[in-house]
Amino acid sequence: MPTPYDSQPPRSFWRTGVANLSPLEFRDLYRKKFTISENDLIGSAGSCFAQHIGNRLKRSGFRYLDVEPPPALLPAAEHGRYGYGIYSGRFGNIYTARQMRQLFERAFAEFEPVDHIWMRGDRFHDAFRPTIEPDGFGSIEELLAMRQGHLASVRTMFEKADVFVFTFGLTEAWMSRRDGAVYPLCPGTAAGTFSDTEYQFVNFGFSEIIADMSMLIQRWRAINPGIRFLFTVSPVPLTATATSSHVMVATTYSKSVLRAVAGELAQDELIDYFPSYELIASPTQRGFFFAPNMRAVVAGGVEYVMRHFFDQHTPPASSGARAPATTGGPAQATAPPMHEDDVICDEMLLDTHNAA
Amino acid sequence: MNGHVRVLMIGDSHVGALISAHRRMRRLGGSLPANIAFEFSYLGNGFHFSHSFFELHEATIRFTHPEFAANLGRDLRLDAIARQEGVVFGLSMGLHTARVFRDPQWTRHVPWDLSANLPGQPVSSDVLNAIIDQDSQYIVAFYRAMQSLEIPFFVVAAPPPYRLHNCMSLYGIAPEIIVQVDRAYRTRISGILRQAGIDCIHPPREVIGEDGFIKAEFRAGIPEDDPHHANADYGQIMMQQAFPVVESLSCQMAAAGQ
Repeated sequence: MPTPYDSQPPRSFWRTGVANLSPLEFRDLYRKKFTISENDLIGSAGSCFAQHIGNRLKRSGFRYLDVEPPPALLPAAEHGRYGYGIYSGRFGNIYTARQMRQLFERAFAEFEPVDHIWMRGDRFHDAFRPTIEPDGFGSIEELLAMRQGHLASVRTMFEKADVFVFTFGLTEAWMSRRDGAVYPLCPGTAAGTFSDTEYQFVNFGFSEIIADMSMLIQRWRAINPGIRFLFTVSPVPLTATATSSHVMVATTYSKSVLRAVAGELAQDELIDYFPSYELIASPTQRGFFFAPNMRAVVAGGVEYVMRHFFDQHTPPASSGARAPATTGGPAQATAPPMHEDDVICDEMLLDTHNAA
Repeated sequence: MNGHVRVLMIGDSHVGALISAHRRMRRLGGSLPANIAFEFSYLGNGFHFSHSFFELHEATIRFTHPEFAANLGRDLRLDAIARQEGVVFGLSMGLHTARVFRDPQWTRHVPWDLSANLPGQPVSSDVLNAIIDQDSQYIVAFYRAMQSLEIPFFVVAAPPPYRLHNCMSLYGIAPEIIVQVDRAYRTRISGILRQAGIDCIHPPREVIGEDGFIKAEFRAGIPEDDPHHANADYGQIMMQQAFPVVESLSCQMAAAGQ
């Protein structure tokens, strides 16, 4: 009797799927679980690498959802500086599952964190997107008005998106000891003041992240039953770790957990996993797609990843680049091509704390 | 005041109110200082000032916008702007805020401090300032070029916005937004001018209504489909404010030995 391996295709064997091929010849690493139609509204969020995915989706002709488009008169060169056009909303980088879950909870007024404003000098920063306005806000009133508008737009994203692309970035985070609010950055880096008594370090494990994502997905489906998810894991290593481990060891832990979480969640038929992590960071790629610092992903790597994506999710034929779908008013300009230096990666601020 | 001063008023279409006022003042006699001679040049539409329009060439400034260059030559017989003995420039440019407040973006965005009462995505003060900086960049560069050549000058602000500006009927922009954006623009540019030590003549309180728009009396005689301009009464008030500024600049020139 033949074994199950006898009917497996060449892609299932290391020799024919990997060893006999140049990394640039790898094919069929990803098979879509569901179709993204030209009418589907695609939202995106996540860590730095997610910006590449969102940008390419925008340029490809898919209907990319931007619930907080920039004012038309703001020059395109300033969009990134003010957090416009990076993701589907002006929430900045969302590195952890807990942060994503809490964004949902904050948007629907289920969670109102106690420690939510950080200072830098005499300026006020939104602790949950501390670099969205690089110089902060001029008053608490301004910050709160801007946040109120932001969260209203984010609610729209949760309600309207047909497909949500989320890139898992980190397991490490900083949390308020008072109510468990999780921040994208360590207090005291971009703004705020670090305090051991106010904040604690967390390195989320598999079961915690599964619980956070399961809760998020359940609540999201309650308000938007048709939502489908496409999860990826950022191949970008940690800038720094707050654990006692070497940063390379901490990176392996973080990415392994996140990869396992994405795989576990993708057991659901409406949740897909796209292997951007493997396409860039697998040893088979020999580091081709990393910049000399072995952290940043070069433009060719992003192209390579997205080629695999678009092989399965063929962009709408006729449209070419399409203006992002907004929630009202005339369409905004389409996204320009993104250079690797254009990526807004707040986590890189941690390197400024490197005493060496 | 020391000696005779020639004041060359140049700029966007708001020069028109100053020209009308000057004609009337000259006709009536007695209301213009004897030792100040005003000359005017309407360089071109305010729209063009948000694009590159000049170049600094050695000790002169040349207009690269052909219409500006032609009008300057026709009206003032100048092919460039340079420091000249006994000459002060008055610039009607830099506070024409309509380019920003009339944009249809304000139907889906709103300055943050109005967002509690008006629909739209709030825009922070810094983002609004970035928009203003973008719009005014060439004018601010022009001020700096004038300063670098030590050419004496002052700025004359455009009138406050018109209560029936057609951007409200065309796009549905809320009047509160127009007033707020106008204020933000003026505050931003005034700060730049103040920091640079440049005199600016602003519309006085008496011309602004409680709603923040220009009072109807300063629009009398202006066709309703003209959304920007003020009349000679307004121009006269601004001209009268210019006299002491010119006097002060003239004294500074004299003190500097020019």
